[in-house]
Formats: sequence, C-alpha cells, structure tokens
Amino acid sequence: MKTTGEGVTTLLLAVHQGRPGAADELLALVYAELHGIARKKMTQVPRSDTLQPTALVLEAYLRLFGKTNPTWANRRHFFFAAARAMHDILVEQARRHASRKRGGNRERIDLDEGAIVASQSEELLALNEAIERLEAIHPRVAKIVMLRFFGGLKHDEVARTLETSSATVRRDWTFAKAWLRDALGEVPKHPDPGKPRKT
Amino acid sequence: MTEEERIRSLFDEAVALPEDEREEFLSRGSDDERVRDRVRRLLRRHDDKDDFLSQPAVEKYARVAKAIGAEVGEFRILEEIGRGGMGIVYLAQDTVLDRRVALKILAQHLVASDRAIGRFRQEAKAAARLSHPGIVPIYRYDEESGVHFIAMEYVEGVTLSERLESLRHPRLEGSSAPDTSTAVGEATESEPDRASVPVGREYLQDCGRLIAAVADALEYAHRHGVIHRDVKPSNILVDPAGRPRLTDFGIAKLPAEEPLTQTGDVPGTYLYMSPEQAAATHTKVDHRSDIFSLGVVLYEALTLTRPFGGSTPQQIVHSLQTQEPRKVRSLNQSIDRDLETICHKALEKRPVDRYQTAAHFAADLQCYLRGDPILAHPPGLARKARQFLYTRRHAIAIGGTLIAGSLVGVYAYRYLTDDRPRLITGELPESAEVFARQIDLGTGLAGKPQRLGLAGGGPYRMPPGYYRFIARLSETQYCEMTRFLDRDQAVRLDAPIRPLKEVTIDMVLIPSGAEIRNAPQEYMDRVRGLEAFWIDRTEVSNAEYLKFLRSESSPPKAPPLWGGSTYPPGWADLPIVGITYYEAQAYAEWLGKRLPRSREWERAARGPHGWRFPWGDDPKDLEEKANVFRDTILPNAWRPPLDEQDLRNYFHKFVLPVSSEEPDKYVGPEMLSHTLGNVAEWTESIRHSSSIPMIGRRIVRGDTWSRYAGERSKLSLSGPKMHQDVEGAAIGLGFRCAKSADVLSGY
Repeated sequence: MKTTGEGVTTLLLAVHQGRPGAADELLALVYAELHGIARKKMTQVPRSDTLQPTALVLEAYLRLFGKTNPTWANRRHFFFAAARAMHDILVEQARRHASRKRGGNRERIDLDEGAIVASQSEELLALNEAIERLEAIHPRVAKIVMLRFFGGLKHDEVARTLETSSATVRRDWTFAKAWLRDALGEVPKHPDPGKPRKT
Repeated sequence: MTEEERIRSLFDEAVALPEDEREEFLSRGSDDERVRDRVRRLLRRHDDKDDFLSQPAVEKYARVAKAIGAEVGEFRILEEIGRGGMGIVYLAQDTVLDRRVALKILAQHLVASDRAIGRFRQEAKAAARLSHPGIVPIYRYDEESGVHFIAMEYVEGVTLSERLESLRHPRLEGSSAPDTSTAVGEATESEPDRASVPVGREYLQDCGRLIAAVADALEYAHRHGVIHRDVKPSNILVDPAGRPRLTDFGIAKLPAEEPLTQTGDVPGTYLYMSPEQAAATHTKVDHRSDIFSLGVVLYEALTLTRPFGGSTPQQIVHSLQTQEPRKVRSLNQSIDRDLETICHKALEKRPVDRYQTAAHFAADLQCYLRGDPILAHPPGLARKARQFLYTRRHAIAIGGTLIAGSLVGVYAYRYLTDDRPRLITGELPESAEVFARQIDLGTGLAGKPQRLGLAGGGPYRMPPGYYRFIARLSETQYCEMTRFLDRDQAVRLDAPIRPLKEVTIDMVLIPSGAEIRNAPQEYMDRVRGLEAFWIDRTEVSNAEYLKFLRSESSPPKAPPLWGGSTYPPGWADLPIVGITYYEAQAYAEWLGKRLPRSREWERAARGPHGWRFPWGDDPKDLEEKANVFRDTILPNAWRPPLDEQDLRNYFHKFVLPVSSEEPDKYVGPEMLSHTLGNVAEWTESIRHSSSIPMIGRRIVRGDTWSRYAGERSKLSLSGPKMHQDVEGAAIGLGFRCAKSADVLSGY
C-alpha cells in the first residue's frame, strides 16, 4: 500500500484535529517509509555506507508528500512522527543486536564488526532507558531530545515544530544533556541516586 | 512546584552564571541540600565538555543504523556473493533457523517497475515448484518495506564459470586443473587467451557427467513448465562433491528487453543464447532453447572455447545465427566422435534439429559415458546441405519458405535405451506399411514420414515425442494414429484401415494452405504449412457415437450425460458431448479418421478468405447466425443445473442438431456446420503455455451455445482458443473428425 500526497495530508490533518489513532497511523506510515529507505541502502549500487538522518527524513518526507507542499502545521506532525519513527527503528535494531550478543549466537565472520555493533547497541539502549525516564518527568524536554537527536532537526526547526522559542529549546537541550549524562553515568554502577522520585 | 521542577529551574538559572557564582546562587536558591547536590551534579555534567549527543543518533550509532539495511526479514546479510541482471546475491544468515542462505535482492532501480517485480515473483514461484537435486531450492520469496528478496539454499563451491576460468588460466589461479599439460588445438579469434585444453578421458567424462546431470535437472524443470532461459556456466554451481546445481531460474533479463543496440559490455548471456532467443522474438522460444544453451556450455567445457563469439552483441548474434561452430574435435583431438556428435546436435540452429527434450540429451550423454552407441547421428549429406542453406539464407536474406518445406528432417535414432516407449502393432495387417511423422511440438507441423521397419508386431522402440503414425495398405487405404509417446510406455497401433471412399463420405476436402492467396496475412501465416485434408461437415452426433459404442472395438463407456446406455429420446441428431479426448480419438480412429489439428480446423472454418465468422468478417447478428448466448434466454442468465436431469433438459433446450436444416444458417464457407457455437470441438493440437507444451491438454476450437453474451468480443473463429484436459469431459465439448489427404507428404 502506498500512501502519498493527499493521503498523508489528510492523515496529518486528522492528527492535527486529534482524531484518535491518527497519530499512530502516521507513525506507522513514516516508520515504514524510513525503515524502507534505510534498508534499501543495502540494495543500492554503489551501496551507501552512512545514513544521514536529515537526508533520511527528507527522503521519507519527499516520498510521502511528493510535490505537494503541506502547511507548516502538517510538517510539524510529520517531523514528530519521523523523529519517533527513527527512534523506534534504531532502538529496535539495537535490541536485536544486544539480544543476539546475550543469546550467544555464534558469529563466524565479522566478529569485530559484531562486537562494535553490540556495544553500540547496548549504549543506545541505556540511553533510551534514560530518555524514557526523562520523559516521565520532563515530557517537553524529552520531545526536544527526540526531535534533535533522533529526528536530526536543528534548534530553530525544533522551535518551530514545538511552537516555542529558540531560547527555550536551547535551555531545554542544555538541561537534557546534563540530565541524561547524569542518568547514564550513574546507572550501571550503583543504585541510582539520581533516580527521579515524584513528590 | 515539584522537586524535579525546582531542580530544573535552579539548574537553568545557575548554568547561565559564571562558574564561580553558581555555589552562592544555589545556597540562596534552595535550602534542601539534596536538591542543591543534584543541581551541582547536573552542572558538573554540563561542564564536561565532550560531544555527548552532539551528533544525531543515526550518525552516532552508525553501526547500528547500518545494520538496519542488513536485516531482511529474518535474514541477516553477511556478504555479497554475486550480481546478476536483476539484483545482488548475498550470503545471509537465517536468524531463526540458524543456517546460511543465499539471498537474492531485487535491484533497487527495478523496484519501481511492476513488471520487474512481477517477473521476480513469478519466477520465484516457478522455481519454488521445482524440487530436484540438480536445482538449487528456493526457501522463500517475500517483500519487506519495498525490498523484494528470494532466499534460497546456499551452495558452497564454485560456479562452472569460475571453474572453466581457472582451467583457462591455470597459472594465474594456481588451480588444480586436471591434466592441462598438453595444449591441443589452436587459439581461435573468439578465444582471448591461448588456453590449455584439458585432455584425457577422465576430464571429458567429467564434463559429460556434469552436463548430463544439468540436462536431467532441465528436463525436470521443462516438465514442470519452466524454461530457464539463461543456462550458462555462471548459473551452474558445482558443489564440493562435483555435483552441478542449476540456479537463477528465469530471473535473468529477457532478450527482448535488452536491445541489441545497447552499448557497453557484452552481456555474457548472448554468448549462451539460442539463435531463436537472440532473434528477440521470445514468444517462439521454447524449452529447446535451453538445450541449445546447454550445448554451448558443453562445447565450452570440452574445448575451453565458446562456439560463438564477437566483441559486440551484434557480432555475437550474427555469429550465432549464421556460423556453424568449429567442430569440437578440431579444438581438442582427444574428444571422441560420439561426444562431438552429441555436442553439435545440441547446437543445431533449428530447434527441430536439436535434441527434442533435455532427457534425450542426457540419455545420449549417458550412452557415451557407458560406451554404448549414441542415438544421434552425425549430420548426413542432406543435413549438411541444409546447414549450408541455413547459413546462406541468413547471408543473402531470402525468405524462410524456400527451405522450410522440403528439408524438415526426422533424424534417426538408434534405439537402445530401455525406457524408450514401445510400439505394439499386432493388430495391423501384415501387409501394412507403417510410417511415423514426428510432430514438432513447437509448430505443430508433422515432419517427414519415416518408414518403420516393423516385423512380428513389435515391440518396437521409439524415442519419446509426439507422433502421427500411418498404417498404409495403398494410396486409397490408410489410417492415422496420433500418439504422444512417453518413456516406459507401450502404445498399441491397431486402428482399422478403411477405404478412403467409404471414410470420406460427408467430409469436405480442404486444399493445402499454400493455395490460400487472398486472405489476411495473419491467416496466411497460420495456414501456410498445412497439407490437404478432409474434415467432417458436421459435429459427431449422439446416434453416430452410439454406433461406435455398439461396435466390437468399443472400449469407452457411454457418456454420463446420456444417463444410460443410450441417449435420451430426441437426441439422435444432437452433438455428442461430455466425452474425453481419448474417447473422441478412439471414435475417429474406429472410422478410419483422426481428430483435426487446431489449424486445420481453423482453415476449414474460416475458408479460403480467412473470414473471422462463418458468414464473413462482420460480427453483426451473431446471435442469429450462430448458436451462441443461448443461456441469456433464461430469465436470470446462466444458472447452475440442479441435477442430472436438469442438465439434460438444459442441454436439449439449447443445443441444435449437428446438421442444419436451414441452408443459410450456421453453415460456413466450406459448408461446415456449427463451427462457431453449438458445441466446442476437440483438436489433437497440444496446448502451449508460455511456449511450453502441456502434454495433457488439447486445444479446443469453436465455441459453445453456453458462451456468456458478455464475452461477445472474444467470440470469433480467430479469437482466443480454449483448451481442455485430455481426461476432462465437458457438456459444451464435442468434436468432428479429419483425415489427411496427402498422408505421406514429402516421403
């Protein structure tokens, strides 16, 4: 099934109007696009070795919208979905690799590569856990992490997407980095003193 | 304000301050030591100037991201192992079943083409039907997020192409090429390097075994309706035990899609293409094209030289179509004559001159390997003359008709292998001469009559194939029997031989196709090769069929539609229906006739001018002039019959007597009744599906009273043809008979 142009715009409108389930639909759609694009790099000749997040998001965007020029409101929803989708894809992939390592699946070739992928995967999963905790306490901050880190958006784009000021985004981002580093730094070693408590 | 919110707000303010002012600010800002401590820690984290989160996730975790593409379904891509026209083949790990697979992924630029996807899928399906030790099995075809892939068994080993290459360059490869010490033959123009041709019986026998095994696999595929179309060394994997495995089924490009004018690299495929395939009229390409390609592979294996060459596709195709390859023995003297004969037989330009099945090819190679005499004969004088003409024809570009008629050859076999079909002729009179004409499965034309020296009533062995047998007492007394001979089968030839005069009452004599002059080209092309024949004016009636059932030689049972041992009252003149092909054929032979070929039927129905309808070319008043669309008389169009009796009522109501009483109605140009409409009719022509003969199906001509009026546009004498399983009886299907007038044409 291919949903392009108007279909997506309609869906975005539905998200905008808060139709139940629309956001999930959009996410699924963008997820499929991004995943497909990332995966197709394998079958391209010559194969491209690096994936540029913005390029990826842009490609998904173009594929979904074609030549239509959606309103900014629509683009916002798209960027959210794209960032979220990118996050899901990466985390999912990391889970597979981490579990593979734990599962002791024998690797006959690419041992080094496998080890690197596995260690990156574990790191990403730890970061993800931290982001989830951050989200529980500071949802807006977590959103910014999502847009910047996974969506590859710049500060001003994040600001427009969230309909807030650049300064706010900057402040949130600064805080997010410190908070996440703190959370990460402590997690593996001792019982977490920085573990948030709700009052 | 929650504790976390206080922490956040303190952090925001503190972080904006110079470092030395922060502590003082904190002590003013909160009296909770825990909160202050937490903010201090966050500030310290902030001051660790590193690149935390400075890169987007996809870049930071590039290795993880890269692995996204390396997962296709449950398969993890490990490395690239090959490239073909339609995609890349990877070695991959099946993470569920924990085994290696070869994963073929449709190239990205083809994903936009529905046609390419369609073919990728269809061919995967075709190959998935095949289960043979000589064919690489397909595990799964699927599509995920736009990636189309085929997972198949990973065969360790090398391709035959790599193996031949290592024989060509033994020093470069440092390979274990067998017995390459003596160079035999000279390098030819098509031979880029001076190759050391391996000699020695062992090597040649290895080649023979290998190709025979591939031929077995091809035979299996052909029998399952699959033509490979791209048989070449790089598609033959040789496993560590030396067994060949055929792969890449039909996935390669069709020649029609790869124009000859294309510049750039010579596609390897042209080097192994059959002449008919290279002619880019791929509709005419049948399984014998694969036999040719395998012949090229054998040639190359034996001599390390390709039979046809050139530096551009055009040159290769030219060489392919006009040049006879050098004899293999001139390139490698250690090859025996039999092996040479086999190899060149597979390389015949015309499909009809090659081995007709891959099984024949394999069988002859087995004969060679066992040291038995082979079945194929080296070309005789006539064949050599024709080869000359063939070459000339292309050279001077005259039409094909000059040669086609006179030199169709049924090549002789020495009948040796035990599983060849047997002919039993005990019932025929001693004085009868028996001839066989092999029917070309491609064109449907009967080949030159070959007299069989029968003695003592058989068994007499024949190579498998489709034949018309003729038992002849005199020019005016003969019978014909059309049979498909399969391996391990016994076929009895026992039709009565009746005088022509008696047989041809109520038949119309149709002159040969060559006499048609003023007709549409499409029609002229279809009837051109026809010899003169007789054909029944009418469809066979129930009364006539009952006579046959009551005769001594009656094997078949009464048609179920009768509901008893005779037909229902009032049905005598209605056409017989609901009988199988074999029953119709038995009836025809009992009368000294046979069933018509599809094109004979068409010629008789369309007449000398090739009309599209029995009355001309105008479909107007179709319902008036032909017995069709009768079901529309029912209020609710067609309804399924309720029971047997209902079915009979139904039939009686709509089907007309075989002989029309009204002179202008239902009669065509050659005075045949009910060609279009009433009941459809069996023919002896084998149905082809994508150029593959479906031995168990016959073409059915005409059309039925029950044809749905909505399909009006399909209804004409030249329209699409129906077909039916030989064992399948149908209520709308009867037949009429034919008989050759020039039965030993060309003898």
